[in-house]
Amino acid sequence: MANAAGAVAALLGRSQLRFAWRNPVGVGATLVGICLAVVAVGVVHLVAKAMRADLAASDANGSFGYSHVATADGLDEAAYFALRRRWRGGESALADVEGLVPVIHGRVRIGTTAYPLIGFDPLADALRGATPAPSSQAELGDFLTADVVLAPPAAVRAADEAGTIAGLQPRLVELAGANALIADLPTAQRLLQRPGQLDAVWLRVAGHRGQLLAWLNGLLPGIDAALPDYAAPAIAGYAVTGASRWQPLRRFADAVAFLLGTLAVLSVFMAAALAAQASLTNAARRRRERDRLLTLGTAPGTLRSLDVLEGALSGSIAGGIGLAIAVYIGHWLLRLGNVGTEPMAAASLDPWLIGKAVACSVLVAAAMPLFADREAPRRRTIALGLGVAAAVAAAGLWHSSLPGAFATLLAVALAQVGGAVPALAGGVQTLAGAWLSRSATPDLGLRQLSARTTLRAAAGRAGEIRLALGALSVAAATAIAMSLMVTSLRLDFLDMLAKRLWPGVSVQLPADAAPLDDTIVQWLQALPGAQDVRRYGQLPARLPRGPLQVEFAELDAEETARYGFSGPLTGAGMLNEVGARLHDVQVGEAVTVRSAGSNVEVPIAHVFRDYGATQARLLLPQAWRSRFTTAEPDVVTWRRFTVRTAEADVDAVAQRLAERFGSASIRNHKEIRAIALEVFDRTFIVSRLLAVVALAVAATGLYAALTAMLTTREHEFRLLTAIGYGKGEIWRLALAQTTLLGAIAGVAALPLGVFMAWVLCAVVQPLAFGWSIPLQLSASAVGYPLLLCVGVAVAAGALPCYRASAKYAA
Amino acid sequence: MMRGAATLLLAALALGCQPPAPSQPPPVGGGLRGVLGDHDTDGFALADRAIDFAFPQDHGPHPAFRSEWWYLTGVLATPAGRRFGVQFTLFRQALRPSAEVDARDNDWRTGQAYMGHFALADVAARQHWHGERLVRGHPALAGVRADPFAAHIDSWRLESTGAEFWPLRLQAETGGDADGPAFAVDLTLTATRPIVRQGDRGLSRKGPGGASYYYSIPRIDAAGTVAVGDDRHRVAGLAWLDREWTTGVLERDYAGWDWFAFHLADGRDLMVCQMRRQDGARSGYDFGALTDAAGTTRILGAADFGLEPTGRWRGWPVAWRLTLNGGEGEAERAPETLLVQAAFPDQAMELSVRYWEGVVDVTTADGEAAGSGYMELTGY
Repeated sequence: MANAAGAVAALLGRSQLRFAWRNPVGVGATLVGICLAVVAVGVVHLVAKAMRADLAASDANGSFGYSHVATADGLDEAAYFALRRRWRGGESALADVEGLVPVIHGRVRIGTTAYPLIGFDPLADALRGATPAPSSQAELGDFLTADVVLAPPAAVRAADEAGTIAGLQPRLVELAGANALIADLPTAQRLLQRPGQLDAVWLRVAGHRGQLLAWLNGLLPGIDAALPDYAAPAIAGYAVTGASRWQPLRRFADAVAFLLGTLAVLSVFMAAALAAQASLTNAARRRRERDRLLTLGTAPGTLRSLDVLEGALSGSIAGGIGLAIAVYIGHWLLRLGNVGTEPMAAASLDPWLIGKAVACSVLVAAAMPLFADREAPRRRTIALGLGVAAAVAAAGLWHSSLPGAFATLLAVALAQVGGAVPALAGGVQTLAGAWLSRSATPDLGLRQLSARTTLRAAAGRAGEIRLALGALSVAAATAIAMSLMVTSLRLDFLDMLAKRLWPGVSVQLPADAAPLDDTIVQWLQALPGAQDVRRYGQLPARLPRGPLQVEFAELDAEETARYGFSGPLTGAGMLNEVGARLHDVQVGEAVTVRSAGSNVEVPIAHVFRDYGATQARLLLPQAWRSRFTTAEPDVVTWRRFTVRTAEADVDAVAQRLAERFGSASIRNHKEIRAIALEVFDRTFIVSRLLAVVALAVAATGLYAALTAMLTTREHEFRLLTAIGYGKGEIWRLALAQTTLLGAIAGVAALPLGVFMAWVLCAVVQPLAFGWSIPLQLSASAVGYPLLLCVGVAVAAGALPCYRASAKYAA
Repeated sequence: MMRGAATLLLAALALGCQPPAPSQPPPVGGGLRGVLGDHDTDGFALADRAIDFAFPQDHGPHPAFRSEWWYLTGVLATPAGRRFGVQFTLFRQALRPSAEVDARDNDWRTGQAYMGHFALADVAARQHWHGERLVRGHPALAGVRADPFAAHIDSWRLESTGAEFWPLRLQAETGGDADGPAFAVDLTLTATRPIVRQGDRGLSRKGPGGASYYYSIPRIDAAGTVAVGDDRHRVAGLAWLDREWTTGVLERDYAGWDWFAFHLADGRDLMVCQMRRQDGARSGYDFGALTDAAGTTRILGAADFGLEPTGRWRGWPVAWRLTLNGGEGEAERAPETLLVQAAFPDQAMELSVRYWEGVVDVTTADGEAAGSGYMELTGY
């Protein structure tokens, strides 16, 4: 039995090698497609991991690996001890909590600079937690028994010069890499002049939900952004949020990583369709050979096993090459980005990446042959599948979450491949048949008859390459969606820049500069050409579910108009869209802003768009500043101002400012606009590239499918040759058919692309980044990807058609 | 004796404040040398001469010394004879000499850290569960008061029930998790024998340069409940309380120790401890105490007993032959041999510090039951 299977394997293997030898490009295309998918997935995985490691290493404002943050009104030490007793007492809501750490944070001024300060009890969760503290026993003793503060080098130098901090003389110990002061809880309370008070309790949450989240993060780095509160325990009296909400940059990076990861999954989708198409084609090509083997007594299972083995082998080769290329490109990109050693070390092969590569290559290539010898699904099956896809898509939208949105996109993509494209191809075939029948006249010549027969046959054969066409259609739809989303965002971004950046100059004084006082403002107002001077004070604060940047300004009608609001504001503030979404705030509601130990109720009069912002930002009338300085030293920084001028005076004013504030960052608004647009366009290059990769994968699939299909049409071409068709005519005819197939894929992609763009603009972007984008349909945004789709189809078909015409017309 | 993981508290502190590496237990020997072997004793009081203990003050903390512990072990049984072992330990470690602590009336600045270990052994089920707590000294988190006596770490408490030291009440519990069920004890403890001052009137020498103040309350009636999961059992039995405070007592070449405390069936209470050098040899500073049924105590030195391991489990010597020699005036008395065997082998404390502490049974050389107690092994 084993010998028989071996003989069959050898027979099939030889046959396959013979085919590969004769059609190296066709077979290679399948491997290239799988390889590209692995490259896309691998590069995104490595870059995302490095990006997260980079932020984790530098973000001392975060929560040091703690998964959740609990806050409450009036949180103090007594409340913390009560919570701890509830935890130790076995309260069920706290069953998954493995560690609690009391925390206070704020800012302290050292010299002229206000530094963020985090204070916590390092022994609250010392056995298994990850709070930073001096590593040696001797230093830990100091940290816990005296006013010792771990500090960035610049703060240590500043403290040496200043002598005292908040009237105290703590010993500052340099901590390389820190960007905040870190102190024992009582030390921080003393420096912030808030004895007995706390701001948060960090939680280390495990349990099955925490484990699942950790597992998902390994699989898809950045999914934290999609599921920030997934494992949050519901603790009575506390607002508990995922720690990533308190680390805006990290959350932003997570969102980018997650979106790129899901785009990369699209390449895998293409690769799967490609492998399935290759299997279908292969099965059709070898039907006679297989029938002969079955007649001779070979078991169908043996043949299927050999197909799977063959798929696994080719998948392994493609996956291995793809993985190597991914590591190389990933490291090259990171070196280009000049990341540190820790992120670079993080961008190494890990079990998740290897698992993903295997899943994308070996499993996909090995599994698809299992479906290859099945008949095309019946209408009822297709209808059922479409129904399920529609239900999943609707449920995904209803769930209103990132995973839900991507379930929707996946469902409609599957429906496109399984239903829409085959249905459209069938419709074209029927229409072509009807048209050919109706337009047939008795005086048709032999050449015309033959050509019409060939054309009809070609339409009928669209079903043979339905998977490749479907994949091309989904790739085109993705390209349309990306194009529409980026175009819409760019248009709105331009509108926002036009409102905010009137002619003039913005100045940001360095951290060690003297704050703006009235004398300086008077000098600014007296500058020749200066029409208006505005200064802005900044105060780091927090809302119950995350940090908040408060900005004080003169909110007259002119200033509020820059943010899309009519009229002056004195008794309310304006919140950016990121803050409104993260904290679930509507216009007309009030938020409690906590800062410097004071809680201030702020009614929200307007929510403004703030593309590029990673955290909540609140604009408040300048007069409100005094409400925030009750306990903590005044840490409002007044170092930003703008000078409005006529367009012609901008350079002269900038020159005067440069002379007076040499070390400041002085930016012409026109320059800011240009930089913003450059950054915008650079940001979306990766997204566009991934869409092009998807199209490229689809094109290789189409190429392989067309190569195989054309080899089975030998008799048609020979007939055309026999009746006098030349090589060029056959090539043009075949190419026209290919163009028709590309057009079918493109037409099917159009509605899907617009729908996907809507999901990206209305659901994904707001959830991931807090930015809503009004979808704006434009002919160029749709037309370019459509042309690309048809072009890709023509390009994929050109060589096979040429080879077929050359072969049969000779 | 210098009971177990107390010495490793600071090692745990230092390790615990770094990203966790659960697969790498802290090196016990290194911890011993690093903490109890720390010869930089500046600012701390030293146990360098015999003193008169004063109670109830000496039941309370001695912050002038670096390390201190309250160590309770007991073997209990249900009316039906099902046996349980209980261990509760509270370690105190000074982070700095008191004079150097910048307290400023701040409750967080006690300058102390506390570690608690709590374990329950179910002999019939051959199961051993343990829990651990580590917090800083703070009235709301952990601390010890002498009069009326109260020691606590989070919700674990050992305290006098009235104005007098006795009776004490022990209440401790841990929540269940994937590693084991919730377990708890609630015991009332009453001493039936007087305090035993170990060594020279309480000064227990551990080497040429180190000593501790050490007393024991060897025989305590214990009664109450133990609970495992939803099962509660009424239990009663005998417990042993050790108290010790010191500032760095381990010699540089010490690897660990083997400590034993038994309630013997004939009414005697026996404690022996050998200090092992890194080459495996005995230190010469081994010590012990034997209290007879009348309450008379004989202090033991290295020459008074011998210990020989006779069986191992995963590297832990869980079976021993103990030879007790006759004392002064008892020269004609033949050495007494006792065989010590773990009630079941797996009673290792796999916590932030790793040691073995569990119930043991004692038999005579003829195989007759002679008592039970606790054994502690470190440095393996």
